[in-house]
Amino acid sequence: MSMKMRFGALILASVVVVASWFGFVFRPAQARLSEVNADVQRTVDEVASLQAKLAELKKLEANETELREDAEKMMKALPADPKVSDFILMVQDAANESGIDFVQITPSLPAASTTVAAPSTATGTAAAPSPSSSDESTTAPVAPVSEIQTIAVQLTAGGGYFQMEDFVLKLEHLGRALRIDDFNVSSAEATAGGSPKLSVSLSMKVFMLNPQPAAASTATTTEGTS
Amino acid sequence: MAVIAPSRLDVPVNLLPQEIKSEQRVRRVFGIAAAGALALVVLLGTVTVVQRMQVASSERTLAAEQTKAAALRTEVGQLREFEVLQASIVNNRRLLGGALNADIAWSRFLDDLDTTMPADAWLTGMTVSGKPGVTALGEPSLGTAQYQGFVTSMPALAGWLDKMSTIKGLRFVYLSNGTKQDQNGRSVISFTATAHLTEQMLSGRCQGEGSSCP
Repeated sequence: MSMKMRFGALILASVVVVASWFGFVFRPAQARLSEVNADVQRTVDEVASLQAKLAELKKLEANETELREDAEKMMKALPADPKVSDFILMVQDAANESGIDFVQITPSLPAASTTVAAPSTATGTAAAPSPSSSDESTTAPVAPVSEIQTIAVQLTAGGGYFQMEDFVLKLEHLGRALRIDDFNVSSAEATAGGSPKLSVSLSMKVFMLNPQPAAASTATTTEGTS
Repeated sequence: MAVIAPSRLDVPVNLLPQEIKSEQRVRRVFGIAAAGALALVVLLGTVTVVQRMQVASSERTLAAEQTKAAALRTEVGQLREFEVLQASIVNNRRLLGGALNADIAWSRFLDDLDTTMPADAWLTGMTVSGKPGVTALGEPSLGTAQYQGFVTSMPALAGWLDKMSTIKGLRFVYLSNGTKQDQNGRSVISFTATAHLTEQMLSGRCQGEGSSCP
């Protein structure tokens, strides 16, 4: 083999070796390194995020008692079912503490906030059920229809002014969330002397979570278009 | 006298033919080139080893981080119930915030009425409503109050209207009617009046982080 050919062969061999090394060794290894480094970065980020999450959860765990109390309070304020019996007991307690005579309660059926509530079917006294306010749509809460339901309640009580004031205050801070929309106070005695007995009629809404949000939304739409 | 003999050694003598000499030079250059090629191969090998070490090191780091992440995930999973509790509290509070939006503090309304009511006036009836609307002056109203009652005289009626107008949260306190009449042998004025509620009468329940709820 001539020297020229040897040189040519050496150069060719060098080029082939370098190209093969680059193509079959260096590039794949570089790609693997990039891939592993990207995985490392992702995992490091995930670890940082998990550490932050853990710190947050540990903080919540440290306040476990308070958190459970709050959750229970919220569940009581916005239960997943009507719990009318519990509501009656709460109102009766408030009436007893205020010294007011709790005379009548007329709850409607639970309904999505924007629908007209169905006529009442249950009463706390012997009084006949009355249809709930047809103005409900105008005073409806702005909470999403699919997540919350409203029970319209008519309540009547009797007592003095200060007892009534205390009763309303207690209702506003009752464990169960409610909203007084209208009330009417009347007295048969039109004299300035003494403390006349008042009759108080309250129209309010009591709230509960919607157990079937999707179904309620569909029902609302159907009702609205019929 | 010294005789200086000419140095024969200073004269280079090469008996190799020129072709052989040239061939030797080419072989030397080829040897150098071959050594260069070998050095290149060694360099490539070194780079490969360094690269492999880097990959192995990164893989070890990855494994360590993945182990750490797995442990953290387990720990987070064990405490997940607190997050669920917190989420349910936040969600219920949000729902109540919507439900109690524009809620009127009726207890405050009654308290203000009680503390502002003049001694020469008394109410026989009152109807309040939380329906939003507008006053006769076009101002926004969050609800209305209608009063029925008695005062002892017309100036007392004017005094009652002025007093009621001082209540924060009441706007456009307006007389509907005032009529003198006889009651149990004495002259009194029966009246009806209305007032509008403003946002100062809002309860603010569940409306912010620090507000009471419910």
